[in-house]
Formats: sequence, C-alpha cells, structure tokens
Amino acid sequence: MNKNFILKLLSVISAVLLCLPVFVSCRKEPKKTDTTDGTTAPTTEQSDDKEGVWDYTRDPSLPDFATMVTLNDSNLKQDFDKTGRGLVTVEQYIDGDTVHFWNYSRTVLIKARFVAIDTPESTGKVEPWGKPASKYTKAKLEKAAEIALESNVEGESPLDSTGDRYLAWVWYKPQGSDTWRNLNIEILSDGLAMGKSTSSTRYGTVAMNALTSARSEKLNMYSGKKDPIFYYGDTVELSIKSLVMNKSAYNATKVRFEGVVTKESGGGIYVESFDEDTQQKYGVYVYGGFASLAPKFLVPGYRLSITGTADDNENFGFQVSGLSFSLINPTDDDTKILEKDVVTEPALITADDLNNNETLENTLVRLNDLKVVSIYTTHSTTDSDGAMTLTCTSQDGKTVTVRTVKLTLEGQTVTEEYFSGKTIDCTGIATTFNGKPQLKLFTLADCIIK
Amino acid sequence: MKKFIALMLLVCMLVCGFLTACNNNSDNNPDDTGSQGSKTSHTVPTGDVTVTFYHTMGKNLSDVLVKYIAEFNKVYPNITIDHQTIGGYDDVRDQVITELQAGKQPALAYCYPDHVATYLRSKKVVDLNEYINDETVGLTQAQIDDFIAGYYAEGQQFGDTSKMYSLPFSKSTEVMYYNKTFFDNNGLKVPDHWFSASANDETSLEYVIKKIKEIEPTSIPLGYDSEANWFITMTEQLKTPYTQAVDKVQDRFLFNNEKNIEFCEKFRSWCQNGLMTTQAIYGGYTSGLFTNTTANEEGKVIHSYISIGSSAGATYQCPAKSDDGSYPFEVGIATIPQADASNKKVISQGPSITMLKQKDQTVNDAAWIFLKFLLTSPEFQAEFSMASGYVPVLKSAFELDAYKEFLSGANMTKDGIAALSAKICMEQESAYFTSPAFIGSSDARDEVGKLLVAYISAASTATQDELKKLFVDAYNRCVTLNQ
Repeated sequence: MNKNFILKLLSVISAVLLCLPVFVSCRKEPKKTDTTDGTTAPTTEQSDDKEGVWDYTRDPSLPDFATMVTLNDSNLKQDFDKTGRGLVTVEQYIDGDTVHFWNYSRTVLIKARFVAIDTPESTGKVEPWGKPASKYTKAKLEKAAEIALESNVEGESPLDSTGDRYLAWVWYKPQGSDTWRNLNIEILSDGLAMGKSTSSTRYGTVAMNALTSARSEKLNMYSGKKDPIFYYGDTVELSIKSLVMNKSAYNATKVRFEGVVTKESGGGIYVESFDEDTQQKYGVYVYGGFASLAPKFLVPGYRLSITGTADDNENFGFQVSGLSFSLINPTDDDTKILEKDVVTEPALITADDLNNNETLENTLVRLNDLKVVSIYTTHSTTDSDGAMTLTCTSQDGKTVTVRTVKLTLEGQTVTEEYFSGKTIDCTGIATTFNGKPQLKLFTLADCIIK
Repeated sequence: MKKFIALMLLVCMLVCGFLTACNNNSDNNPDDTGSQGSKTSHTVPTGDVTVTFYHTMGKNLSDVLVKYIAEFNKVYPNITIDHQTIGGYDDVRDQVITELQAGKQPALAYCYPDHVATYLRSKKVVDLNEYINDETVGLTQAQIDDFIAGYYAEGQQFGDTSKMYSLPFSKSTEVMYYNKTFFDNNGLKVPDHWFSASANDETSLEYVIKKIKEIEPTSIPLGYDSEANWFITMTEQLKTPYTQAVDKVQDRFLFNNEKNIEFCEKFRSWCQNGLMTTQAIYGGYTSGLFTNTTANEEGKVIHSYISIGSSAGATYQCPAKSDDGSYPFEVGIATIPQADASNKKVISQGPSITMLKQKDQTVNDAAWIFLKFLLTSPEFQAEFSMASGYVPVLKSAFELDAYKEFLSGANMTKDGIAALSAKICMEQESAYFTSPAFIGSSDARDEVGKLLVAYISAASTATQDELKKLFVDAYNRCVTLNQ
C-alpha cells in the first residue's frame, strides 16, 4: 500500500464524512409510514424528531453581541407593566418573538413582543425558520436562572401597535452565570429574525451590528439554505379523515383536501367531509388568517379545495393554516371554491358519542333533549366575555358540556336566565377544551328551547 | 431625552459612516462616481445571474410575488430572483444603507422617496431612464402611459426631473372610516371638511365629533393613526409651509410658523376635550378603538366612531364577524376631510422600487428585466392589490375582469371592505400629494409627528410659550440632525 493510495483513501473517507450531514439535512422526500386508517402518510423530518433535527451551535469565535449591552440590574424586583422593568416568570411560549410572562408580583400576565426583531411565524401559520426561532427562544429561557423585561423607553411599559401586547427587551441570566444576556440581540445575531425598526431602538447600534453579522456570516435564515425542520416536500392530497386520523404523521406537512365549511370562528372555519367507508363525517379547523381575500372564500356552505400546512400546535391544537387565495390564474396551491350553497345536516348523536367518540371532533352535530343543570358565565375583558358553559344532562343521564359564544337576542346579551333549568336541542361543533369534549354553539338559532 | 440623544447619535453614526464609506468606495470604483451614461445600451443577460430584491412583504404577499417570479423564470430561466423580506420599510432603508457602505447593496429594494434621497448621496442609485429609454429593453410609450401619471412622477422628484430614481410598485392613501350604523341611527352626516364655519355646520368634522360626544359621552369620537401624516396633510391642504429642498440646512425646515400652530391649537382643544386620539396617545392603531367590542376593566366598552387611517388597512377597520355570523356594525368609508374644497389634498403612500448599482452591470440589466416584467404586468398588479389592499399603479389592471369583479364586491363588511377602500382610494387620485424628498426630509416627518402628539397632549396648564417652544425644539432637532 503506497502513500498515494492511503492519502486517496483518507480523502475519500473525509469527503464521505463531510457529506453525511449534508445528505441528512437535505433529505426532502417524505418517507412513507403506516397510518391508523390503513393509508400511508409521509414521515418528514418534523415527525421523525419534532424536538429538533435543527441543531445549531454558535461558532464561539463570533462576537457575543448579547453581552455588548448591559442591563442595569439594580432593583429588578418590580412590575414591568408599571415601571417598564422587572423580573418575570414564563407562563407560555408562543413563538420566537412572543412569550407570555407573569410580572414580578404575579398579578398581570404580560404578553411580551420582543422589541426590534421579527421572527418567522410558527403559530397560526408556519413559515420557514419559524420553528427553529421558536425552539431557540424556548431553549434559552427554559434554562435561564432569571429573566427580566425592560421597556424600550426608560420608565415606560408601552403597548405595541395592537394595543394588546407589551414591547420588551428580554434579558436572561443563564444558570451559573452572573451575566445578563439580551435575548433580542442574541436572536438577531444568530440569524433567526428580521429587523423591526431595529436601528431606532434603545440598543439599535448593537442590534444592527448583530443583524449585519448574522447576514454576512450567513447564519440560519440568512444561510441561503432551507430550514431543516420545515416541510418542503410535495403537497399530499388526502381526505379529512386521513388527515385527522393521523395528526402526528401529517404534522407540518403541506396537505390538500376537500370539504364543506360548516361554521366560521376565530378567523377560521370548520370544514368537514363525509367518509363512505365509515358512513361518518370527519372535520378539521382551518385558520384563514388576515389575508384580505380570505373572507371571499371561507364562507359557510361553500365546498372548498383547501391547501395548507397541517400543524399540531401546543397553543391552538391541531389545525391547517397557511392558505393562499387568488382571483387571477389560481395555482394548485390556492384555495378553490368548488360549490356554493351546500346544505350540511348535522349528525344526530348521543351524549356518549360526544364524550367518547373522538372522531367526531370538529364536525357539525346535534344533541337533543339536554336538561340544563348549571351555568357558568365568563366575565373577562376579551371577546369571550358573556360566553356561557352549560352543564347538561341527557335523557339517559349522561353529562354533556355545552359552550356558547356571547349570544345576543334582539341586541341584548343573552344571560343565564335564558337557559336556566330548560331542556334544549343543540346544533354545534363537537370540540374539546382542555382535553374535555364539549358542544360549541355559535348562534342562538342553534339552540331550541323546549 | 436619553432616547432622543441615542437616536441622534445612531443616525449621525449611520449617516457619517455611510457618507464616508460612499466616498471611499467612489475612490475604489470609478464606475460609482456618476451616471452609467445615457448612451449605454442594455441587453437581456444570457448567462446565469442572481438579482437580490429587498422588500417588506409578509407571507401572503410573498406568495403572490413567488407566483410571478415563477412566471418570469419560464421566460428567463437564467435569472434567479433572490427576494428577501427584511422587516419594515425603515429596516429595508437601514439595511441598504449598511450594505451600501460595504458595497454589498441589493440590486432592487422597496423604497420611499426619503430613502432614495439618502441613497442618492452614495451615487449608487441607477437612473432608470437609462433603461426606460433603452431601444432594446426599454418601455414602450404605451407601457409608460399605462402607469397612473401621479405615481410615475414620484420617481422624478429628486431635483432633476430628467432622472428617474424609482418606479411605483403599489399605492395607498388615507381614508376616513366611520361607523355607518351609528351615523344612520343618529342622523349624522359624513363630514367632508375639518372645521365648523358655524354652530350648525353639520358636515364639518368638528361638529360631528362634538355631536357624537354628546350622544355617547364615554366615547372618543375620532382616532387618527398617523400623526405625521396629519400634520403634513394639513400643511398641504392649508398651503402652509412645511419643508423645502434647498442646500442650506437651516432653510429646509419651514414648519415652525403661526399657521401651523393655529391648526395644532384647534386639534389640541379637541384632544383635551376627549374628542379625539391618535396612535401614539392611544397606544395602538386606532382601528383597535374603532372596532372595539369588549369592555375595559371598569366594564365599559370604549369606542371611536371615526377612524382615519391607511386605505391598505381596511380589513383591520372592520369589526370581526361575531360567531353568530353577524357584524356588530357596518363600516362606511369616505375621503378624508379637507380644509379647502378648491385645494383637495390627500397623502400618497405605498412602496416604490429603486435600483442600486452592482459591480457587474449584467446584474442591473437582469434586475431591470425583472422590474419591467413585474411592473408592467396588470395581472401582477391586480393580484397584489387584491391580496394587500394597496391599489394598482397601472390603469390596465383596473380593466381586468377579475379586478372588476373584486371591486364589484365592494361592501361595508369584511368581505368587501378592501374593495370598497380601493374604490375610495381611486376616487381621490387627483388629490394625491407627496412631500419633497431630500436629506433630512424623513427627520422632518418624524419630528412633526412627535410635535403634534406633544402639542395636543400637553398638560392643560401648559403656557403658550411652552407650546410654541415645542415647535422651536422640533425645528432645532431637524437642523442638528442634518448639519
């Protein structure tokens, strides 16, 4: 064996080893996997490892922008919502640039939108690099010993342009460290966010430098590479039944299906279709977002061809989002109206069906002869103010939960008296809340008092 | 104050660094020192070229762009369009400035006139007339005439009208949204001018908001989103001085004058009496107040009944459909009030596209081919408009059946509000104005916005001298930032 041969062998081995990660990260075609309804579903990188094929470690030779700014950490034991600075604890991770925190005294929930950055979407609709950004933020804060928020303007805790969220600089102290790190800047420096009026913010110079560095170092979303945990594969055409019976298999997959819109709710629609094999309807919630053309398409009674991304989201549950619409030369991926004025009859079900048959979820159903035994009314400053939860008993003695939206009758809000002690027939969507089945009512007309 | 100083330092650093770098780069690259030459003839690139395009589009709009890039690539498969969402308009500006320093600027970028005025200092903005008038790749007269004239002219407003530094991409303006249900129920007329000429001037905004307050004392009758737009629009409508593009910095900023103090004083009285609010004072887009249906912590639902904002934000001005399928109220849209019926003015908004010089002119040639494809396509214009709420910049887009169908669906609910807004927007076309763009014009805009907020929300005990000093301070800041 001569030296040349050994060198050639080593170089071939090196090349293979070097290429291996590339092969792994570039794998696009979904694998097939068995599903519970006997069909096959794609298995994507996400479903292989939902907690992360994306594995990023910052090159330690790069500047640490997150510590180039300093938090004045004197007296942080105060409420951010009152003074514009203070320690907080995480209540819920939403996405890469939004986290809900409790203020220091745990009296106010602060929906914090990170100043100066804009990460790709990972809830409602999913965009490339949205999930990595979301995982990144969660990973940093989960391991933090302390977290503090600071407003962009000294002494103020301003709301953002929606008037609902607080804009904040998020600082955290890693376990075992005495140094506060600025998470907003760290996210920018690792190429997981775009800027958002970055230069005109409190730490604008460092934040801009961090962003510029990420772009020039081609990190993550600026790498020119695809997000390794985003589904770029072909659209999977399937039935609603296949989709909802195999949620984890289709999670983060682009799917196309047909169905009839039964109800509008929360910026989205409930869609269902009938399955001949099981002689049953299956339903799914589809989020329409703020696309200006969405209201023209997402109309109850329309039969649609819908293309979107399936997302099993910890905040919103399983839904399909990321729809597109076009009135000119629609592509296959655009939502299409197949038929209008389709009448959908609700399936007549029993209390046992509602409580035990998960496959009814998100379909239009009817339950008769429910005796209202107790009522809880929601009082809040949100849209759910005035909504009621009716605890009912069916004729066979089973308990059924009926949840209403805020109902109105001749301009007046319907109160508990309207239902108290009555027997009702209800038509609504079979849904779950905190894992418990319930029937959701949308209009007073869906409820007949006997 | 700290924020202001920090901001001032940042702007100074950016501008100083930018100008220094521009000079350095000019030394290094003789091509950067001036025009590419009006006689240059351009060709369609035949080799592989990548064109970088910076914009602000979210996913909904990017989807439309991607669709047309795919169409473009059917004809020009060798030209790759690397389009990137940078953030907001300011972020695009800041990124471009940063990259101009390093000579790594994109070939195409979304822009506003103020941005272009800043970029021009680098001498790296392409005079698009070189392409427009090119015999091989230029625009035909019919294509030029297809642009709505007022929009097309925006690219020529940088001191030398023979140069064209941007082309319009999509446009919007401000419109007045009102709660039609409330207006109808209370016999209110839609106002068409600001100030009451008499006590019973029922079509003045002043009369209407006072009437609304009488009917519903807890309401804040009027919300105006952009304070800067409001100030600038008033100066245009009243023909009072605002800015001018001249060499001497001290003479560029003209807004500190008695006429402007006069209208601020009027708005101050409205604000102090709870008749109006703005985005900065309210703490969010005033569409939130206009569409609000939920009670505050005291159990009261606080509304506005008139909201003046972007025509492109129409869907946000429409209340959400209740889960029972009904809308809490109908939304009417009208042109904004005027100060002088013979001098109607509304602000012209929306992005244009500018082209920045590349080291390899082939990239600029490819960028032009793409720009021409995109901006002369009525289908793209119509589709982008329907997805965004902005209005097309091509007359031919309005002739497409699909766009006509879109407009025919105009109504006062969420289904048709974008179309209705587009219609109102087009009706105001002859009244559009843009302010002069020059180095410092964006500072003037920022300062008058803050000035209006400070003036109308100052404590009721503030003296006239204190209020006038707000004008002086704003002027001084503009001068300091640009010296």
